[in-house]
Amino acid sequence: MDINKGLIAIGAGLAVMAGMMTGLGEGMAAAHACDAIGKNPEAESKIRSNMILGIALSETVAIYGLLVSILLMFVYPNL
Amino acid sequence: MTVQSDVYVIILITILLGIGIILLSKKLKKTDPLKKPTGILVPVLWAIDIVHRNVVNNVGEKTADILTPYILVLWVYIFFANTISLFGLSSPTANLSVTLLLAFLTWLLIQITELKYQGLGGYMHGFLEPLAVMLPMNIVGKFSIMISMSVRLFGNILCGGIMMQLVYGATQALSNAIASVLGAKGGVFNFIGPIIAPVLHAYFDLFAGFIQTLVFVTLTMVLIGNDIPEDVRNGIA
Repeated sequence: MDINKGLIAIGAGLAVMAGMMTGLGEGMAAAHACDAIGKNPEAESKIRSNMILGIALSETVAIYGLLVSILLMFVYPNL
Repeated sequence: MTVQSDVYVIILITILLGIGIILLSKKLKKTDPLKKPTGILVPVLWAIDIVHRNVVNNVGEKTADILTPYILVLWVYIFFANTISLFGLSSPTANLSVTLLLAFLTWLLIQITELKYQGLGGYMHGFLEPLAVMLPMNIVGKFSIMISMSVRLFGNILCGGIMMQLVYGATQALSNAIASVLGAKGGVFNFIGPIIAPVLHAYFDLFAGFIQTLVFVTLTMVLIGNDIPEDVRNGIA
């Protein structure tokens, strides 16, 4: 039983690694949005809403990883 | 039948917000619209004005009149629900049922906007774009908005709560260890927790709660605005 718990924990850790590259991508998106605001500050509100849209869409991957790991930790052991 | 403890917090929040909004609207009705607002009405009117301008930027003047009340409700409810964990209660938004309902309302509004501006034929034809083979993908894509929006809010708030529990557990263990070195027996008061927890509460509850509210609201506005034709948004048609 104990080794099963350990394997579940490893699986949950691996699932949450989906957030690794997402963090990199979101950082790049925010950096480019800052560049764009620096180039034309009057378009700030448009750039901001587009940046949030793009970041939110790419964040979906990390959220799915998080969901899988939450399911693994709290739902799967009780099946 | 067991009732989740979140249900009581949801009812409490609804009652508090209901009383607050009824009192505010009574006060608002009594005031003279031609005079300068005073007291609590100044920040309220300022916030409503900012939100309304933001909505107009995204969906245009025509739709904004209908959409602004919904956006205001989202702002007040989600932000209040995210920050109620500062008072030691569990946030309702850490419960998937609540966020799923909020995301479902947004999804419904998106579908209504699409039906209104594309017609039933255009809406149905949207499933076959760009090729008929993409039909299953498009059906999944329609519903993925609902799932991703609800799970984003839920996951962020839930993880903030779990982090704070881990921090309190770790500081409890640390203070027990320090106390046992000093010669005390058994568990002691968690005296390290109150030193480092406030900063983390400010981040996980206030900052993350605000950012997640902003993201939810902005996504609602942008996704609805995307389905409105450019001419209608700019007020030409």
